[in-house]
Amino acid sequence: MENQPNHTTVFLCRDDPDGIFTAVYDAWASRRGHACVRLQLEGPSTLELFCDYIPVTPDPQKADKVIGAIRQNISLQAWEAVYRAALSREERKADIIYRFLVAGFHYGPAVMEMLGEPAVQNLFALDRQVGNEAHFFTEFLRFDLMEQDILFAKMRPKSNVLSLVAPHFADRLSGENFLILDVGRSFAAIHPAGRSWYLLSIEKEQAEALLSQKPNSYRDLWKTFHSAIAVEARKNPKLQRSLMPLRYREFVTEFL
Amino acid sequence: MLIQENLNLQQKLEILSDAAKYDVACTSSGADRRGKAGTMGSAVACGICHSFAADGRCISLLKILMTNACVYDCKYCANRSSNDVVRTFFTPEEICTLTMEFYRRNYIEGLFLSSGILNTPDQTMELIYQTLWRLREIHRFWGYIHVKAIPGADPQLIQLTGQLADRMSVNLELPTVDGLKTLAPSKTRTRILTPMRQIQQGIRADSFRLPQRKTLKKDSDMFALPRHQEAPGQSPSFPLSPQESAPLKPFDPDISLPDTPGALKYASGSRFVPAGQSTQMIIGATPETDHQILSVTEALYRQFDLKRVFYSAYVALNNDSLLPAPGTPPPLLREHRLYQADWLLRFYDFSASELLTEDKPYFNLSMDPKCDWALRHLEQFPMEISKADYASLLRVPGIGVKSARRIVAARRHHSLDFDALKKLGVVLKRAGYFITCNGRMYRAIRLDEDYLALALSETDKRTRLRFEEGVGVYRQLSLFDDFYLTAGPKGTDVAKSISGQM
Repeated sequence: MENQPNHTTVFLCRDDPDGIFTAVYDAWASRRGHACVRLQLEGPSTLELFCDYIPVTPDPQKADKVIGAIRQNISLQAWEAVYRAALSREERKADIIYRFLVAGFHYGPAVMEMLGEPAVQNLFALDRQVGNEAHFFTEFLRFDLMEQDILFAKMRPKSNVLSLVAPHFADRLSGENFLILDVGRSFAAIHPAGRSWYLLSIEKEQAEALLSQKPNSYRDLWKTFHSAIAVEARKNPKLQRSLMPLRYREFVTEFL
Repeated sequence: MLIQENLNLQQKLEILSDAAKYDVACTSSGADRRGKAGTMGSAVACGICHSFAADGRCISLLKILMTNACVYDCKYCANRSSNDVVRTFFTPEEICTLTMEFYRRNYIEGLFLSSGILNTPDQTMELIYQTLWRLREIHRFWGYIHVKAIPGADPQLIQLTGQLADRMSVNLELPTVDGLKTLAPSKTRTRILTPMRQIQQGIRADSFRLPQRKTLKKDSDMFALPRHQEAPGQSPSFPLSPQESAPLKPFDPDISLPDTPGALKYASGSRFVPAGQSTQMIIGATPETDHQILSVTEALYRQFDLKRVFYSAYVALNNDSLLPAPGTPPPLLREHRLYQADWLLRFYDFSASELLTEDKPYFNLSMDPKCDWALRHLEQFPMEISKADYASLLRVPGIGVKSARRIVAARRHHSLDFDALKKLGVVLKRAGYFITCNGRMYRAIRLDEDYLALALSETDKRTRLRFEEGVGVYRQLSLFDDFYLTAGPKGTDVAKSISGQM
């Protein structure tokens, strides 16, 4: 029974990089053949017949081994792309990453140029989706100054981009205390002035209770600027909406 | 001219940003530096747009005038001395505070400071210099600064200012000498080109300096997975108590002026205008042809090493017999075609004479300049994707810099079909007419000029409609439509470009 062809083994993994890379490790180490394994995120989904389901326990050590292998045998660039893909909102991402790695460990660094391969295209599509969303948030994130000189920003990204966005701000605002809260996932990137940042699980209500609002006039000044800088004769809300989609505006000062 | 003294900051901001809005460039690109302890800010090579105004233009920088008072009476300008508008000014400290407070809230990428001429060019330039100096030295601002060089100001002042700024620009104002003479009699072409040349030479001299040693990124920090930390106690480890948090923003009002110009403390290796020089000209206020405008542009790129030339469709606001009547809609489609052609000059190795000639001095408004060029050179098509070299690929409508590079990289490993081309970012609804893939055409068509002209003009229709509805195009002509595909050569192609960027 075990090694029957066409019998698929599904590795169920937790939706975070550690979970996914541990599943990659386990699937590979199971030696069932790449065609006979599939990676899938945990969660409610229809069970299929003739499949074994194996839940994967995330193991940072196994994950680190996979990461090390990607960096060494494929390339750093590939690792960055795979890491971003692992943060995607896409349901099938775990398997897409697995398929890319099968190609990657076979071809080595050259895999990054094989844009005609579906395995590569799929991974790059995820990479792009996540990279673009992270970029949007470096653009449109807005901080509010709270009591005790803490900057507080809220975001609701579709993909889990907080860990891509936080380093950008930790670098440029190294002297500031700031907290960026992913409202949907209830965790935050916290940066104490002059130190390195870290992630913490925290609810929106909790965060808002910790930080008390400080009245500040810069919101109004910014709104004034934002409306004065537009040229009336070129007014074009449609264009504005396509460049700054409504879903990014939820916490954006000038649209509040 | 009466300058209002009793306005509050909000009123001043409203007046001085409104007065600055006709300046096109809102770019924050070209400079790349990481943050630095004790300062606020960083700069990203591709630039960052922070918002989009109601006209759809990118807002990247705090774009303001230092003052809208001006001794000149240029006919096209909203701030000309004969216009009856409220005049005011910002003090250097007010500009610094606004920049810093906006920046830390992630509203802006930096400052774009321009100004009307207050009494003399020298006095204006000096105030601008003082502002920048305060911003860098006292407020420790490490973000992006774009500043105007005032024509006619002391070269020494321009030199000093250039060491504090990332980008400098001098506005050409109008494409030709004649235009300038009619509409801005107090300005001359020579006076405008002098500081432009000075900045160019400054940048060149700077580029001969020894490169600074690059610090290697620490592997472990860059690539370690950010994992959740155990919650330290119950609350996050900040707010820190005041004594615990290091005073990282030294504010010392007694800080002395730097001993030697160019040896500023904010950057030990302070560079001169590292993000390069740009300029802009007004389109449609004077009767120049597209050919004239594009030739001037080409000359500016070749002879002055400019990073960007911007075009500003003239918004008719002043009443003057020499100008289009107030209310005339700005020529947005024409402006768009100019930007498209500008792109072809900078990244596609086209020359102005290939696109327009004296006999054909205007762009074909019904299709983009590259399609227009291809139609006139059908003998070069169809082009075989598996064989054509990079330079030829760039000439195909529907293939951009990024997709050409991807094609060259990918075809080394396997042959490409139309489906793969689509995934690489090739726009087949245009390219489809001009290429073959392993000998096959995309669809059966005749390479016939009239037929193609009709088909391509149909494809372009949506663009035109956007303009006819009174629409502009921004996040303009991005060099690649997806800014994160990690294939092929990196480096210069990170240049995301927006009218606001690059």
